[in-house]
Order: sequence, then structure tokens, then C-alpha cells
Amino acid sequence: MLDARAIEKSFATRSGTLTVLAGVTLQLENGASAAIMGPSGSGKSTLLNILGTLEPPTSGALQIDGRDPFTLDNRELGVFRNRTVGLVFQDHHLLPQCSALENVLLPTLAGEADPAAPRRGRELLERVGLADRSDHRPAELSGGERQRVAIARALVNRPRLLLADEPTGNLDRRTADRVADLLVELHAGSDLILIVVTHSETLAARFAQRWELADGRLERQ
Amino acid sequence: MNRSLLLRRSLVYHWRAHLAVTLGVIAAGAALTGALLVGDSMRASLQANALGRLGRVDQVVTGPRFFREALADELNPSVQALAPIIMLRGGVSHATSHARANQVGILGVDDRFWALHATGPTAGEMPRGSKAILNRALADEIGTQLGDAVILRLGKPQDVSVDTLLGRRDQMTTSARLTVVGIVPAEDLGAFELNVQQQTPLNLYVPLEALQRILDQPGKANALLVENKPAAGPLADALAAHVSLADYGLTLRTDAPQGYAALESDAFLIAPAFEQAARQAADACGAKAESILAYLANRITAGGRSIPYSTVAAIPADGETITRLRTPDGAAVHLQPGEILLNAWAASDLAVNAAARVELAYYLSGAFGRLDVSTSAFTLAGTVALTGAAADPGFTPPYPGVTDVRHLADWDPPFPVDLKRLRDRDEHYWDEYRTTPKAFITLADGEKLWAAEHEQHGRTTSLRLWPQGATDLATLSAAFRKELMSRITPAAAGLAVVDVRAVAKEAGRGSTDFSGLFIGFSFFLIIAAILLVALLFRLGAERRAHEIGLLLALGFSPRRVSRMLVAEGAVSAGIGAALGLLAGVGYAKLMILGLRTSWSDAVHAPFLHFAGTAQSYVLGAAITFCVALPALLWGIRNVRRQPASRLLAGAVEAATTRTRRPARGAALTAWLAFAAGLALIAATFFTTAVSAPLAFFGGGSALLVAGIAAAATLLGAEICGTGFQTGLPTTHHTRALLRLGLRSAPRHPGRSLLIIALIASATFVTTAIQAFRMAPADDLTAEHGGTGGFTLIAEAATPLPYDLNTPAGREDLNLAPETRDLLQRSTCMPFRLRGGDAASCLNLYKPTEPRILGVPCAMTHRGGFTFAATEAATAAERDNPWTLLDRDLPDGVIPAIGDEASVMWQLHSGLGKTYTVTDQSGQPRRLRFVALLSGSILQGELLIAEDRFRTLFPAVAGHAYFLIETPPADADRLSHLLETDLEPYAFDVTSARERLADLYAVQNTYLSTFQLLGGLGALLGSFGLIAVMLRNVWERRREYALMQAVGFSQRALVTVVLAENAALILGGLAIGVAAALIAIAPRIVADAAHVAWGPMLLLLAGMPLFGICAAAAVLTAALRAPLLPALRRE
Repeated sequence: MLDARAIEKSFATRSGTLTVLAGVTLQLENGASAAIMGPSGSGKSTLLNILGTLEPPTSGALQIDGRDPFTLDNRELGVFRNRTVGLVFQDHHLLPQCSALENVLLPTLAGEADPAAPRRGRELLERVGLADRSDHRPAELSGGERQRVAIARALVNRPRLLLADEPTGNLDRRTADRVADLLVELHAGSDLILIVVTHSETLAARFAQRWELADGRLERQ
Repeated sequence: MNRSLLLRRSLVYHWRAHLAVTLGVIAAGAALTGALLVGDSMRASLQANALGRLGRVDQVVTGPRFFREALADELNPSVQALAPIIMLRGGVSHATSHARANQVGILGVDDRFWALHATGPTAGEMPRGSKAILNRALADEIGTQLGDAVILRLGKPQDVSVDTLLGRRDQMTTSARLTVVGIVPAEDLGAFELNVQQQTPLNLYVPLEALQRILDQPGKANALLVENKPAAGPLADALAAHVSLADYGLTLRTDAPQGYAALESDAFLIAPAFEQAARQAADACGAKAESILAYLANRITAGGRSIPYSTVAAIPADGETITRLRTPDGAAVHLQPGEILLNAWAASDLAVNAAARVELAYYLSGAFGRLDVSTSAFTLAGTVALTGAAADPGFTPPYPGVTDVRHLADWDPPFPVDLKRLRDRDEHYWDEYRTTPKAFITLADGEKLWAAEHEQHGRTTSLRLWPQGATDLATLSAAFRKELMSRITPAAAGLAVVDVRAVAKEAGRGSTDFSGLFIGFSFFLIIAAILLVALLFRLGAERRAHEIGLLLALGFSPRRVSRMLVAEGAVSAGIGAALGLLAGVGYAKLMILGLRTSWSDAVHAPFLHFAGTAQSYVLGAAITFCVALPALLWGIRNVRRQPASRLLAGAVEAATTRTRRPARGAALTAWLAFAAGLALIAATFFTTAVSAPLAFFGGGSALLVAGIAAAATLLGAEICGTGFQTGLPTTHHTRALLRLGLRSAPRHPGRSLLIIALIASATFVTTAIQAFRMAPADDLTAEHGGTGGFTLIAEAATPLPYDLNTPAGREDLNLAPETRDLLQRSTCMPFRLRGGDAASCLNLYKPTEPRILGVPCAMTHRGGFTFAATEAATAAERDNPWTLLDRDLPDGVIPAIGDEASVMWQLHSGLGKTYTVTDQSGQPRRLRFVALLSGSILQGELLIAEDRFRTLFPAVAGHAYFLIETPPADADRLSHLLETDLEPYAFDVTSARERLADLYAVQNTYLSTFQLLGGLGALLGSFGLIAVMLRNVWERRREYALMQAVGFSQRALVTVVLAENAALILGGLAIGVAAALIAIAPRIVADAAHVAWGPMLLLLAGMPLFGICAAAAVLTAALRAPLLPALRRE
């Protein structure tokens, strides 16, 4: 379960403190999926970074499966994120020097060696429809294929929380639909919590809950 | 997929970035390993050169005295091979062309010498007679070919010191005409030389027997060359076992009729050390020892009558001899101080009775052979019968030319004798009694009158031994000889065994640690390379910000990500360090080529060759790798500190809004470093505890840090918005553009600071080095300058016994009238010289026994030269630090002055520190540096007061080193005349200005090397700057595209970007120049006249101009690329 309460995030600027998130509260049960929408600069990515434990909130509490990740030290936080959170970015951030399969397996290198990881990686590539492209480098893949590799990478450690930041933002409509299909398909029947930040109404409509972030506050639509 | 695969993939994919890092590490490795290899090469070359000149000689027995050549045969069973030789310095000129070479090594050798040749053919059989073999260097110097005749001029060995009355000042030099029958290459024994120096020695080889004849030293040598036998015992033991009294110039004469044995010396006076040992030996034998001091009275006068030229014996008032003297009536005699006994012949001649006043007139020798007639009056205590103990000519030791002549009229003493005063009765006395004393005074009176002035030479002319009890004279003599020999070690007697091979090896290590020196020279190059490595790695890491952010986002810990990045860098560094070894070989070979060609002024060592040790290769690679690693860590420091979310967003620097804490920390650092630097530099004005190098390097570095920290503060303030930023002026277009550019400077504070640091360091190094370049001052007559106001420097292979400053001395030296006239207008400052290794920067070898000069009182009173530091405590001492030489220091320590450069770099000592030298008797004597000269012609010499010099080196008589103060217009002519007139002394004159220029050339050449390598470092640093500039342009291409899109011309764009970079360059320059000028302030204050201001100002003006032009060129080229596509991507 994801339980974010009264999350605040502010930044010091030359002209004073800028509050981006002003008490965001969000609770999602296992297996839930949600889309977060909002105008540019509303703090969607900041919220996603906090939920993904990439940066701490200024105040507020976050618990994922009953644990507050920000009480952990850097190393423990890394392990926690590696095991619990899967991230999909607008810019897929694949390592250009690695093949598709190697990119998928990248998170498995952060912890102890897992002999089952390669098999799991291949299965995931198969599930995202890229079994025949596993040896291809990112430069040899299309935008949609790269994003599918990124999704497979996000799932390789069987996370509890999958966060996608504008996963279709850089894709054409058709490809975007396919990636959306894939996300829905992968989520269906699992107890994975899926949160997608998007500008796209179409994409948002594919998920059970839709939230709007405006003026630092999160409102359910 | 595993981590090593990821590592390999990353290495291959980012090969360009890694290649750049590798190249940077190669540059650092090349400079570092190259410097170590230069050190290896210098050491190996110097050692090979020094050892090569020794042939197979391992040890040498040498000293100031001649000894029996037969000693070699006696020692032969104990050693492998042995060659007695005569080894002196002299002058050689071509008999026809008169081309002359001074300071030539004159070697009297035979086939035994050439048998010690190490490699290749020897000179063949050594000829006999008046023949000579020259080495190639000497043959070339005077243009000699086989069959030519050469004139050899050299000093004649003197048994009796010319400082004493009986010294043969008139026979100090000798010459011979020799035919050149061979020319040998100047290598191996053809370059035989004991004083280690890099200059090829000029050698002339004369048959041993011929040189013995020329020097009037039949059957004698002054050195034994020894090749060790593997199983042989210590040579010193063998020498001690075979050496005899004759080898020490001592004779034990027995006079059976008189019943005593007498120890006498070829030096006429028995050296104090020998006398002391002899007294101990006598005690051990149970003999009664008694000193006798015989002297010549020019006149014994009483009652208006006088006797010319008589021996007077000073005997102990309570000794054995006086008990054996009898009055004509057979009664015992007594003698008290102030009393005199005349023998019956003299008493009769003078017609005096007891209690009469008897006056003795005698010569006393003063400085430069000056003879003063002195008189002393005594009361006649009685008359002794001219029989028995009184009728003994043995009171006077043998003296060639006096005691061995048949007639009194045949006397040939080294002082004037008025033969007209001799009467027939004097001749009769001589015929019958020879040197039998006509008068006796107490030993105490004799010592006071005749020995006090030269007591370092001895106070006794013979030591009489009287057997006691039943011991007979023969038994006593044998026992005494044995006891005496056991108490005199060859080393204490001046016959030192020198392990010349060990000395050469040690000296070959060099006076300077060349590895350290070249690491110092290459320091900025190494630092620049390392900074470049850090910078390139940082830029590479920043380009991979997304990748790093991703890894962090995927749960990789920051430490693991760092490790992965550093592992990649380490592979590049490892490859770079390995390849750096190869580049280091090239670098070292280039340096050696430079030292043999362009920089030869610094080392004068054409024999330098490349040689590397495994240790240097391993050390070079290891240090390079170890130095590169922190650079890599620093390179990723910035990205490692960023949160994953920022890295994923492509941000590589800290957030644009910062707290003020780092800026405050930098400000504190700036103030602390500034205060520390200033304090260190200021301390040199008030205390000698802070050395000049410490003040310069320590203080300069601190000021540099202060400046860079201040820049960091300013950049931090800009980021905080509290700096000098103001609104963009709207009325002045160019100023607005410049302001716009300036605002960009703090955007990447790390990079900006790096640029400032690099520029500041480069400026500091080049400015400071330029300030240390020296040029001889124009006014050579200035007493307080590098020449001390002296125009000429002269050195004689044979010391001059007379004074060049007096008409009498010039006459005794037989100078031409023109020379005398010119000298009349000049002042010659004569120094005594103990030869040795030059401790100047012209000598690369480590001096083992440096040259020592005895400073005359006249020089101490005159003063002159510039002092870098002194221990002067009083106003008088500060006014003339030379007077410090007269200080009495505790524990027998002797005050000394040396040139700062020699003392610091060659002798590795300093002001107030002691340095140990070996005196004539092989004893260590401590000198303390009470003052240090600055940039003087006396570099290479240790200076002590002349009276102390005479105590340390009594055998060094006469003066061999001269500083001549003459009008510059007369200098050339006087120089020529002196060399011609004083050719028998191998008198060599050089211009003080030229000597100073030679010395400065060494320093300036080293500085050029430093500057060149510093320049290479700056060049390397500039690659980094270009990389940073290009990176900045690339990162902001969208920004620039926007500006172009809104109508900025390319020129305006360049102005904006240039303003940013020019601010950094000028900031760096200002910091570097300010730090350098403050750091060199002590040098400028002390010696502003020698600072080459013109080139320095040119450098200061040129550097910013060059930097800004280069930046403009790079930026113009970079901004010429089309920018609008970047905007479209946005």
C-alpha cells in the first residue's frame, strides 16, 4: 500500500521560498492504478520523484508497504528503491552501450547476483513484445521499443510500485497507445501499484483513478 | 549481464572520453617518469664519467708530502697492482706557438700506471727521458702534434714551508722542455683525475723518473694508485705496516759519541703532531726527550764587536744537554730566561765577560716572504768550552745549501747573506765546527722569539732522546722508532688512503637530486596534466549525468556508482600510466638532449646519456596511477553529490540557489591563507629561521590559495545574488553585452574556479621564475655587487710567495715594468687556497672536499659583495659581515662564509649550520656559516680567515687565488701581462664579469628549463580551458541559438561569451601576478639590480593578451557552427 500524507516540497529561490507541493495526500491500495495530471510546473514530476524516493519531501510522510523510506540511509534507500520501486521516464534513459536485455537486467546489478534474473529479463522482453530484439542496442530500436525496454527494466525486480513519468510524452499517438496498452496489460491482475504522470487525457482515462495536481494540491477527479 | 561486462561496454562506448583521460594520464606519467629517468640518467652518466677516469684504480694513497717510491714495491704483495705516480698541477705551453693551458694535471707515471688502464689499448710503453704524452683535450687546447715540443711549468715541492725563514721562495717553480711522443684519448686513464668534475681534464704524462729529476725528488712519489686484490686486507693496515719514518720526512739520527739520538725533519721544524707522538714514544721507551730549536743569528754583538751568521741553539734550561755543557774550567753551567751562553770561541771573539750585554740580530719572516731583522738582548750567563756536548754541529738539522757546503762563502740560504761580512776566522770556525752553535739561550726564549709566528709548522728543530739507566743508544733507537711508528698513523701524517671508486660513486650521485629537480621543473606540467585528467573525467561524467541518475534511480548506491565510474577511469589511468612509461623515456631523452645542447650552459656535461632503472619505471607508473586516482574521484565529485532526480533532468552542477555557508568557508580560507602567506614572506625580512625557498614556495602557494579562495567567494556571492551584479544597462550596448557575459561566469562555479586556478598557477610560476632570472649588474666597480668591485679573478697552479701589491714583491716576482705600472694602479687581494672540489653550480658532482680560501685581513677590512643573510649582531658586523670571520666560536668551530647558492644546493647547508671539512692531518674540522653571499663570483669557494686557514692547512704556503681590483680599461692588458709574466706559476686570469655571467647562465638555464616545462604545463592547461569553453558553448548552444534568433550578431555573441571567459582569465592572471610579486618581494628588495625587469613586464603584458586572443579564436570558431537547429530541437 502507498500512503503519502501531507507531502510538502518547497525550494529556496533568489526571490524567496517556492512551494511546489503544499500538503499532498495520496493513498493507494495494492493493485491500484492512478493517473496524475496537471499543468506544466504544477509539481507532478516532483511528486513522482518523492513517491519514487528519489528526493525527500520538505515535510509530510510517505509509507510504502508500511515502511518510511526516508528514514533509511543512502545505501538502504538505494536497496529499498531497487527492490520496491520501478521507474519509467519520459526519456527512457537506456544505456546506449548496452543491449535491450542488458538494459532490462541493469537493476539486478545493483544488489546481490540473482541467477534467475536473465531468465526473468527475457520473459519480460517477451511480454513487451521484444523477444527478438533482445540483443539490439537502443540506437537500433524505435522510440516505442525503447520505452517498452524501459518498462521491462522497471519491472525486472518485481517492484511494489511502478511510477511512470510521461511515458508516452515523446511518442507518436499510435506508439503511445501501444505503450499505454502495455502498461495496462502488465498491471492487470497484479498487486502492483501503478502511478502514471501524464498530460494526456487519453492515457489518464486508461487508469482506475485520476488525480489533478494544481496549486500544490492533489484533487481526485 | 554482470558488472564487468557493463564496465567493458562503458569503456568501449565512451572510448573518446576515456581516450582523453588516458592521454592526460600519459602526459602526467611522461613528465613524472621522465623526471625520474632524467635523475637516473644524470646519476649513471656522472658515475660512469667519474669511474671511467679511474681505469682499474680502486684506491689512492695521497697527501701533501712526497714519500718513497719504493713503498710501492713493499706494498705490492698486499695488493693486486700498484703504481707510484707524481700528481701535480701546472701549466703547459707550446714551445713554438706559446699557446698555453693552465691548471693542467701533470702526472709522472711509468708502465705500472698504464697497466691499470681499464679498457682498450694503453699508451704503450712509457718513454724515458724528456718526453711527454698528452691527452687529446690538452693537445687540442694548445694545438700540439706528435714531435712538437712543449714547455712544462710547475711548482717544486718544498720540504720547508715558504712561510718560514728557511722556505725556498726562490725555488718554487721549475720548468722543463719535453717532446710530445704520444697523444692518448681523453678517456679512461687518459682522463685520470681525482677531483670529480664533469669538465674533461687536461693531462700531461711525463716519465716518472724524468719528473722526479725535474722536481729534484729522486726515488719519490706523491701518490700510489692501487687496484684491490679480492682477498687483500685493508690497504690502510698494509700501508701502516710498511710506511717508514722517511715517508713522513723524519730521520732518527744517533750520535754515539754524544750519546743521544735525535729526531729531525726534512721540513726543518718537526710538526707538532710528530713532536707530540715522539714525546709519547720516548716516554714509552723510558727515554728523556728534549726539544732543541736551532736558529740563525745574523749577528751576535757585544761591546761593539760582532760575529756574523752564527747558529744559536735554544735548549731547555733543565734538560740533559745543559748538564753536559761545561765552562772552560770544567764547571757546570746554568741558564735562565733572558740569559745567553757563548762558547769559548765566540766569547773570545767578542771579548766579553760574564754579565755582559749580548745582542742577537736575526731574521723573522713575515707575510709574503718579507724578512724583518729583529734584535734581542741577553745577559751573558757564562762561557762554555767548545768541547764535548758544546762542540756538536748536530744541534742544527741538515739543510741543503747550508749545512752541506764546504765553505761558509758557499752558503746558499733562501735569505740575503752579506758575504762581505765574513771574516777568515769565521771560515776557520766553519771548517772546524760547521754549524756548531756559538751561543745557547733557553728553549722558552727561543720559542718566543722564533717559533711563535709559525707554531703551526712546529717549535722544534730536533728532539733529542737520551737513554736512561742501562739502555744503550742502539736499543733505544730501535725501540723508539717502533713506538713512534705505532703512534703515527699514515692518515694523521697526511698519507690518506682514499677509496676513489667509492668517492666517485658518491660524488656521481650529484650535488643535486636531479630526479627531484626535474620533478620540480615538471611540477606544473604534472599538476596541469592531473588537473586536465580531472577536468576531462569530470566533463565525461557530466555528459553521462543521465546515465548516473538512472543508475541511482534504479537503486544503485552512490558509492557503487562512483566505484563503477572510477573503475572505468582506473582502467584508462592504468593504460595511461603504462603508456606514460614509454612517453617518459621519450621525455627523458628529450631533456637529456636539451641538457647536452640548448641547456648545456647549466651542466657542461656532453657525456650525458640515457639510463633508466627498474625502480624509476615502477615508481613512475605507480605514482602516476596513484596521483590520477584522486583526480578521477575529484572529477566525479560533483555528479556524485547530485540527487538522481537532478541528474536525470541533466543537471550537473549544484542548484543555482545556494546557501551562503560555502562562500563563507571560502572567504575564511582566503583570509587565513593570505595571512599565512604574508607572514611567511614577511618573516624573511626579520629572521633567518625561515629560508628563502620556504618563504617563496610556502608563502607563494598560500597566497595563490588565498586568491583562488577569494575568487570562489566572489563566485559564491554572485550565485547568492550578493555580488557585484547590477541590472543590465540599457544605454550602453557593449557594456550590456559584457555584463551579460559576466553574469554567466558563476553558472558553473567549479569549472570557472578551475579556469581561474589554472591561469593563476601558470601566471605565478612564469612570473616568479622570470623574476629569478639574473643579469650581471652593469657597474662592475660597485663593491656591493656580484663581483665585489673586483675586475679580475686569478688562480695560480703554484702559489705565489710574494706580494703583488708591493714594489718589492713585484720585483721578486720579476714582473715586467708595464705590469708593475698597471699593478701600481690596482689592488690584488691574495687568498690562500686549499684545492678540492668546486662547490659551485658549475659542478654537477657532489663535492666531497670543497675548495677552501683563506681570507686575508685586508679583505676582511675592505668588505664588499652582497650578502643574502648574515649572523651579524652588531652594527659593525652588519656594516661589514666579513668581520664575522674573526669571531671566536665555541668548541673550535671556525666561522665561514659561502655563496648562498653553493651552500644551499651544493653543500645542503645554510646560515648558522655547520659543515665538516678535513684538515691537513685528516682530522674533521667544523665550519659554521656565519654569512652567505648573494650571487657572487665566489660561488664554489668556502671562505675562512687566513690565520685559521694556516692552522688547518699549514702545508699550504703562499697565495694561489687572487681578486684583482683594477680600472676596467686596464683589465684586458693586465690580464695578458700577468699570465705572461707569471707563466712559471701557471697564472690564469679571468674576467670577473665573465665568471659571474657563467654562474648566472647556469641559474638562468635552469630557470629556462623550469619555465619551458612550466610553459608546457600551461599549454596542457590551456587544452583543459579549451575543453571547458567548448563544453560550455555546447551546453548553452540553445541559449546562444535563442540569442541569435532574436537578432544578436555573431560578433555580439562572441563578445558575451568572451566577456565571461576573459573575466576568468584576467581574474586568474591578477591572482597569479599578485601572489608572485608578493612572494618574490624579498628577492626584489635584496637584489633589485639583478632582476630582469624588461622581459618580466613583457611577459606580464603578453600573457593576458595571448590568453584572451586564444579564447576569442576558440569561441569564434565554436560559435560559427549553426546554432538554430539546436533551438529547433528545443
